[in-house]
Amino acid sequence: MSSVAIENLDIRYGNVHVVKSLDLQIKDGEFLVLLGPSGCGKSTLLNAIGGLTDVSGGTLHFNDRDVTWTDPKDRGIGMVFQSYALYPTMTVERNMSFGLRIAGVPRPEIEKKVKWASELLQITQLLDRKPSALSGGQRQRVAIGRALVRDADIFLFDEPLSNLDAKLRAELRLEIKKLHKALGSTMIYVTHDQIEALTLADRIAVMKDGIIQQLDTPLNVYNKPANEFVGTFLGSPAMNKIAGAFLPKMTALSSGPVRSALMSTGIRSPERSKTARRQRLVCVRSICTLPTPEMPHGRGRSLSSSRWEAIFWPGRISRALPSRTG
Amino acid sequence: MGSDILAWSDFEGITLSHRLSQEEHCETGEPVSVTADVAKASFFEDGTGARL
Ligand SMILES: Nc1ncnc2c1ncn2[C@@H]1O[C@H](COP(=O)(O)OP(=O)(O)O)[C@@H](O)[C@H]1O
Ligand SMILES: [Mg+2]
Repeated sequence: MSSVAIENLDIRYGNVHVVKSLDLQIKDGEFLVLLGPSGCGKSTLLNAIGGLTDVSGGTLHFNDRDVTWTDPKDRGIGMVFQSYALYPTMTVERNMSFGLRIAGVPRPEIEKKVKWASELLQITQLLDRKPSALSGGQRQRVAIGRALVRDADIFLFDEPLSNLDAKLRAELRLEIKKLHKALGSTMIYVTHDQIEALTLADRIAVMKDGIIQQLDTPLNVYNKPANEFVGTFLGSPAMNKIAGAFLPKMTALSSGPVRSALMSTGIRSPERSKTARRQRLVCVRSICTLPTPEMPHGRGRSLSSSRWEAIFWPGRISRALPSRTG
Repeated sequence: MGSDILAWSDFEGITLSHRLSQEEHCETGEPVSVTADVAKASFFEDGTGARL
């Protein structure tokens, strides 16, 4: 069991500043997801936690132990990568036990660990096979098993499901969630896939350009994005952005199409109000309602004058596509 | 996992995207009314993108 404290972490490759004065506290037993677009520094940060990348500045603690310069093998971590990196000539059993054999762990203990991990991951029937005789999903289970046998306090995952097809991804996502429940270990999971982040995480750290934009629960990251980037990075489809004006206490929205929309609902334009301020962006995850006799196109029901409860917006469907969620 | 419809609507040059359930029929060219709950809307400062 271990908490992780990252303080003022900087990582540079030559002139390129990849991770920038980053602070992050991860609780003992937490499932933390690092989410962000490709190239934002997720893997670099994860590798620094695992000791595979040297830091340029700052500190890293597991519980009270300063591990900033500790050798990866002495950090008590298990890592799972996107590429399974299994030894092709070794059986599943040999692959899983390799690290333990190198570390000189006694045979009976190795057997016990491998049995435990392979049962947990439902791969006992595969122990005698070589990786070439496994499917992608089975290989990734073996890679997870190899990390599991090493008494780790912290598990690090770097896009472990990215090479799998959608169905397997969903399946293994569930397995990883169950695994976290069963083990109660701290898990740090890198992905660019928001569905993975939203379904797996206790908290999500949304990253962009080496900086954490928001660290919060999936619900808050989704419903209360800390900035425009987070709001438009998450959601399928993304939040709709509308330029508008912002009035004190958010009593009203106006300008351009929004005003037209509001006008068409019969509401007086708030633009005349002296309190209208600078241009703002209004972002909404919209709900689409088809015309009904009770709510004819372009007509809103009467709204309270002090506070508008809803934005009504007339439109015309320009495109529709079937889509799968999950 | 479920099946939805992703739809886009246009109004005065602005395109909005929507996720509809399979039961809600929608066809290209069809007029629609879009509602969004102001309480659930996010407000960001233009330029900095900071939440207001
Ligand atoms: N060994 C390296 N040398 C130089 N630049 C690197 C190295 N590793 C990563 N980078 C750069 O650091 C940035 C972040 O990379 P990475 O952490 O892999 O991003 P992510 O995992 O979020 O896709 C990228 O611009 C990448 O090109
Ligand atoms: Mg990466």
